[in-house]
Amino acid sequence: MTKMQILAKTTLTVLGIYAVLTLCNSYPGRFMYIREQSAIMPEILSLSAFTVLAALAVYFMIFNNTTFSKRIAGPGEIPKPRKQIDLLGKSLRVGLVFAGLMLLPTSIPTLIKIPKMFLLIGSAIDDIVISKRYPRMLILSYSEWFRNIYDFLKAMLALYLICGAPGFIRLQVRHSLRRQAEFANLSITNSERAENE
Amino acid sequence: MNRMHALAKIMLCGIGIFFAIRFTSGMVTMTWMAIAKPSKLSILIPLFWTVIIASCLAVVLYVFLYKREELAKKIVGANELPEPESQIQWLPVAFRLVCIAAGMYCLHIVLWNMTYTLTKYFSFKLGAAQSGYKVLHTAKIVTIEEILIWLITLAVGIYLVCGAPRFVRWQVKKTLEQCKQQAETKKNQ
Repeated sequence: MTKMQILAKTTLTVLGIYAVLTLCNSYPGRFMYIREQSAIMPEILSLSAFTVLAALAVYFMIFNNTTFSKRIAGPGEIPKPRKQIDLLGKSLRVGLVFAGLMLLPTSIPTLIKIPKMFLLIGSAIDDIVISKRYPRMLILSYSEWFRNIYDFLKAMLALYLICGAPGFIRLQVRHSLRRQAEFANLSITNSERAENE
Repeated sequence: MNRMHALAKIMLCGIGIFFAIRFTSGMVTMTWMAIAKPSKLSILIPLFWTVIIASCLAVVLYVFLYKREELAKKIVGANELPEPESQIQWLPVAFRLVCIAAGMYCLHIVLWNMTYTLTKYFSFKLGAAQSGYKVLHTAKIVTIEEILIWLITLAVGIYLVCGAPRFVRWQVKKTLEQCKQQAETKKNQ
């Protein structure tokens, strides 16, 4: 992988995260309509479309972006394998920390709500045990439930990305190394075959 | 093609993908609106918007993905630029730049929220001053929780705009440690 391909890979990963969050952000509105309207087919169709697009973004922009990044950046001078690993790790980390920091301002309200939730758990337990009724704090519409889950996951993702997403970077580097090894094996086999012919 | 050209191409492609994501999301929403509303007039409006958004998407894809080579040449210029020297200290600089950009975004969010609340407050005051106006809106314009969120975001924004020295140092240290680990793993393989 060239330096520019590594840069393209990082850009694609950051944009992939953005794509998934943007697409999933449209879910709560659809859930609201499912509850309010009798005809649910259009909502189910749009939900499916958003899910398929999000899945495509995860697959082609976050995890399997090597081919796409090669097409974006084009050919160039390939550095030594050790330098490649070094560059890939560093550039991915910078990109992911950037993504995390950009998510942080919209995640601060959720992070503030988390300690408040622990305080409210007491009253919820009171409702269940003493009053023997469904806790009032849990009476929410589908869209509200989905919005809360989405906000919580987004906040957790922001924190993970700010910490540098070590697991994800390890996975990406390992994956890239494996692909490179496969490609090298393939080119050796092809050259051997050409020599035999 | 030098390094600056390649960089410009990647950036253009990134911008293209960013807008493509936004337009695709909008297109799905508009199509859903067209399907969900049964009357003819309400179908026509979302359909019209779907066509507009699809045209914008096509233009963006054509300019930023298909014609990015020409655009990159126009941005960088025809003359070959000297290759930048090997940057040994690029990692802290990159982290610092990232922090400053994120800090600016934090400050933008705080400013936007504050302006919105102030506008709401003054429009409410104006409405209340009119004769025959009955106060029906009982919710608070701003709560302590909101003020706390603003203050935290403001503090984070200022720290990041200042370059977040400790955070950058910690990130650089961790990144180098991780790179060392990965190199060792590769050596062992």
